[in-house]
Amino acid sequence: MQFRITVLLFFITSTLYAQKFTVSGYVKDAGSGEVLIGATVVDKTQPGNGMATNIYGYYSFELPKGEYTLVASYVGYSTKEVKVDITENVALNFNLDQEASSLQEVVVSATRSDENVSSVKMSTEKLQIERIKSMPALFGEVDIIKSLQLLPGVSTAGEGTSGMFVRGGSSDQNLILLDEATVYNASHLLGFFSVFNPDAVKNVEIYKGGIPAKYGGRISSILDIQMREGNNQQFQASGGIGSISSRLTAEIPIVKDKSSLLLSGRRTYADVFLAFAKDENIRNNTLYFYDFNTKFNYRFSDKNKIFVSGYFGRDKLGFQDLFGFDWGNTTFSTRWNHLFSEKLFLNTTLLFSNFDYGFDVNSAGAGFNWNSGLQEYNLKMDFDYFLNNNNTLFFGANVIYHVFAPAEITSQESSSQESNVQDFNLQNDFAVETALYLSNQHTITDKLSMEYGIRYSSFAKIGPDSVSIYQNGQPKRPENEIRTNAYGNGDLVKHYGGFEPRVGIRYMVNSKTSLKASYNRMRQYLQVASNATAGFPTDRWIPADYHIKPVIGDQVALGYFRNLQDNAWEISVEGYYKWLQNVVDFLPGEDVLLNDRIETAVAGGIAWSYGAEFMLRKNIGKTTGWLSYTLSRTQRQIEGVANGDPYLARYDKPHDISLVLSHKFSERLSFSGNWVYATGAAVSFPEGRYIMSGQNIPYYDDSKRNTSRMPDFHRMDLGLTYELNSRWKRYSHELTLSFYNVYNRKNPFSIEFRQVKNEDPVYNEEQDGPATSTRPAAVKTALFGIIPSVTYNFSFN
Amino acid sequence: MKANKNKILSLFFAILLSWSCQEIIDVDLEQSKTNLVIEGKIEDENSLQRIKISQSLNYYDTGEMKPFSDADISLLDENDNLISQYIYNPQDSFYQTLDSVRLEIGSEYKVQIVVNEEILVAKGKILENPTLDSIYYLSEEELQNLGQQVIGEGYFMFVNGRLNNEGVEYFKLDVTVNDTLRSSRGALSNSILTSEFFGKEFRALPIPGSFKEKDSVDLELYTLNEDVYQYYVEFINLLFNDGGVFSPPPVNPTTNIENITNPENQPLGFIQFSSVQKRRLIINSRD
Repeated sequence: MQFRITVLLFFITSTLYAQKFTVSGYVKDAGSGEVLIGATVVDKTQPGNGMATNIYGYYSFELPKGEYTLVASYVGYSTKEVKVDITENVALNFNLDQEASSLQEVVVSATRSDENVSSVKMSTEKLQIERIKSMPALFGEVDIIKSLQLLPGVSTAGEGTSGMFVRGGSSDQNLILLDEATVYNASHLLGFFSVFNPDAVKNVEIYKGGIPAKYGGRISSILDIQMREGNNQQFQASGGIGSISSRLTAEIPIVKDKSSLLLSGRRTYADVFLAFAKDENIRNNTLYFYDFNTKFNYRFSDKNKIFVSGYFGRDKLGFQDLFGFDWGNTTFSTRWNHLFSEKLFLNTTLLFSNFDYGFDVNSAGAGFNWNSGLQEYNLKMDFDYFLNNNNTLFFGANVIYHVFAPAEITSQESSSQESNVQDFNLQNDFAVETALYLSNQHTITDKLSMEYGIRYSSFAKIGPDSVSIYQNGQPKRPENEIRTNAYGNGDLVKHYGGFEPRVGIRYMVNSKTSLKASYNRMRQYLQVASNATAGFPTDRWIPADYHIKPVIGDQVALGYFRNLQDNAWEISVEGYYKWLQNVVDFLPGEDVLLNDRIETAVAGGIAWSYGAEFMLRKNIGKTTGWLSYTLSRTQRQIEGVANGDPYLARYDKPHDISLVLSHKFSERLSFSGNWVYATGAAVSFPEGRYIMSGQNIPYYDDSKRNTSRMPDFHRMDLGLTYELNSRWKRYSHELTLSFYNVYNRKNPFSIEFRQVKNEDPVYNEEQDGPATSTRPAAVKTALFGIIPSVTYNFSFN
Repeated sequence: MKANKNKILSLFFAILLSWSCQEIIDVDLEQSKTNLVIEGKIEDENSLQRIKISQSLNYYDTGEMKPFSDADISLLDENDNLISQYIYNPQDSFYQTLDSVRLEIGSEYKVQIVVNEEILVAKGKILENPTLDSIYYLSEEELQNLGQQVIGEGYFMFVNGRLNNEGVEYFKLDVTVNDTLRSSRGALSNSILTSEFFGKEFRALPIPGSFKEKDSVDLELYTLNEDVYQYYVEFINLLFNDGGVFSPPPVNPTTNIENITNPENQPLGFIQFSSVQKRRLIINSRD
């Protein structure tokens, strides 16, 4: 009897002792009400008990019954402690105050100080927007994507361009999301500036590897950009006047603590400077871009919140009334956050993305309009389930409807006559892409954690469609076509699908050192049909179809991570190997733009890249920044190109170095500087020349590709920011003086092989007189020498 | 249409290059073996048919290409019957038929070249030229009065007519002004035409370029087979290829001459099979 009572008491006691309760809530900026992503809430006495907030600022974890001091922290904000007696599930929100500007608090990264060591995540970078804004930039235009190009493993196609090449992947292999909506062409002015207005952006995170199961659709990287929500406490305005553009942002509280509206716009006035050009043809040109971001949110209760956000941007290039070219993105996101319970969080999103371009040619007798575009309609549901302190489940699904309208050409009448151009349409394409995923963040022991998951993605190319069928065993050429299959509305043309495993492991060697490994498989069902390296607005996105298979990419990565001096310094070394199947490249000389049988213009093959990324970063103190070095190789092997032998990708850059520094001299004066170095791009140079139709033309050995190198690239940029005096407490302003390419290096943008007269690459007979000499030469074009710029920034609240 | 990307880039970079700079640099280049360069035109006109064969140069070599004089060239009909042999003329380094040859519109012909015991063959069909009903010109002022913007000054020419063959047709339009052929790369780019987006009838179709008063303008309109048109398109793309990030990797244009003995050793160049029509206009002032 006594024994039974003892046993009974033991179980009752054990149950009471083991009973855990959930602590959950939101962490926000006290001044604006903005949620803080990646803020941590932990038990002060046992910091291992805790959780970081998700992208909606929500956290949840369990604690046994008892009294605790919970600490909420986020870099750049004062830590807040709250004593709480846990006897039941507790909803606890934290509002953190921004720390007064301090010489100790210039930080680089927006995550907890030891996150790079303790998190399972690897191959991921999160850049704080303030850091991005402080970097010196081309024409003083702060650019998110150019800032990302300073990270290891992320390179650029060429000076001034905004395309990203992540661990050897091409620029169409990056999924760029703005509030979860896909941005298909993320650049203004052919890549010189990105479409993201930093004043409207809150969070920038890039996954180069170890990609969570939640994401899919692109092989190489996920760039996840979250917009600010807007100040729901008080009206706030900010903006800037720069050398070539100005911007203005207003944040309006609609209902205090519950609802706010953000409006942010930007326009360049580069066209104003064209009026001063000597060349009359340039004076009459049009060249500008503008973009506009808006976001509305309303918190119905602690369990329900909606967000509605949108982006609209446009570029225009034109020559008098004769020629006009414009392009742009539109995105629209509606999201509903719902808390089923303190453990189960749901985000439901309805998304729309559009990219389109058009040009008008107003020529007597040959005028036409050309329009092209693509749209994406996406419904997503993402669940976060905080199962217990050792397991957090993420699962969800999405379905995307794609519409591709590659070209619609319509005749344009002038006032005097009809055009001889006939209307013409390329066939539109339609597809449905779906995905399901499930993953778990699992803390196995104090030292070992994993994040593992599975994603299943599926792609259905549907009608209406018309598919050419070719003779078996013969090249897909028009002369080998044997019939055409017709498909009606909604008919299934071709289906692809498969699993995409994702695994990440972290082993803590000690509290300051960890080893990590990851593997991910990705499937990409859309790619850009282009044979150039840098993106162009007229690039054509093509879906996987009857003939063109989706690209499949696998990547493994290993990393060593170590922090020093209380996390003031971070050191990391990561190695990766990535291999791709079903890569396509365009056969020499093939047309892609108006080809309705893309399969005849491409050949398939494989690609692979490998490398090592070294990073040394200082996060705290008057001087912060990082030094990164990437050693890498990127190759492809495509049937029909370079005799089917492996060749280097153009953007292969074996050595890539970035040094990024900032220093605070005083409360008002700060300095920033970048120095970048990269091996020159892999290119093809001629091996001879000949004369044909009166033209001197270089000769290339077609059995080789990209066996030569451009000269190495390096550049230094410097900036100084000074906070000006202000008579009004609510108004602050600063001046930034920056110098792009401080030592005026003429980095080559291109090397052209052509005839040169009078030893002058810009010889003009009318201005320079008759030619006395002509010879074949290599002419280097450098885009930018030293460019000073001044930007005036202000904010009012 | 295919040249529009080049035009957009040219416009954008014209703006950008007002800020940028260009300079001649030294680049070490590998030297390839010499390649045969063949350029020929087979026309329906009753004339000597001419082909030039040369040898390519190292890139930095100045001067002209060295002629190749040891080829055996024959002009054959579609049934491989010999029409004429060619002989080498050292005066101008061209091969030409022994006598004037008249070719039939609608017929196919073959050129066979034997070089270093290898047989090279090019085939083509002489297509019917368009019917040009009228060619006329308008001044810049007249066009502006009609509400039409123009690039350049002076006079602009237009043509009315119709096409005579089935399917898409391809042409080359050579413009000679005052006995000087317009041969800049821009003029070459504008001279290659396709009816792909046009109907069979055309009215007021613009002729590229502008002209001045008293200019004597000779127009030569050549029909092209699709493979030669494709050669010209690739050739022009290569001509405008600046090796930058917006240009595709440079490759040699696809020749329509096939080395049937040694397919690994294709020549450079092309042989064009065309009918031709010629017109001349003198630009006179309206006054």
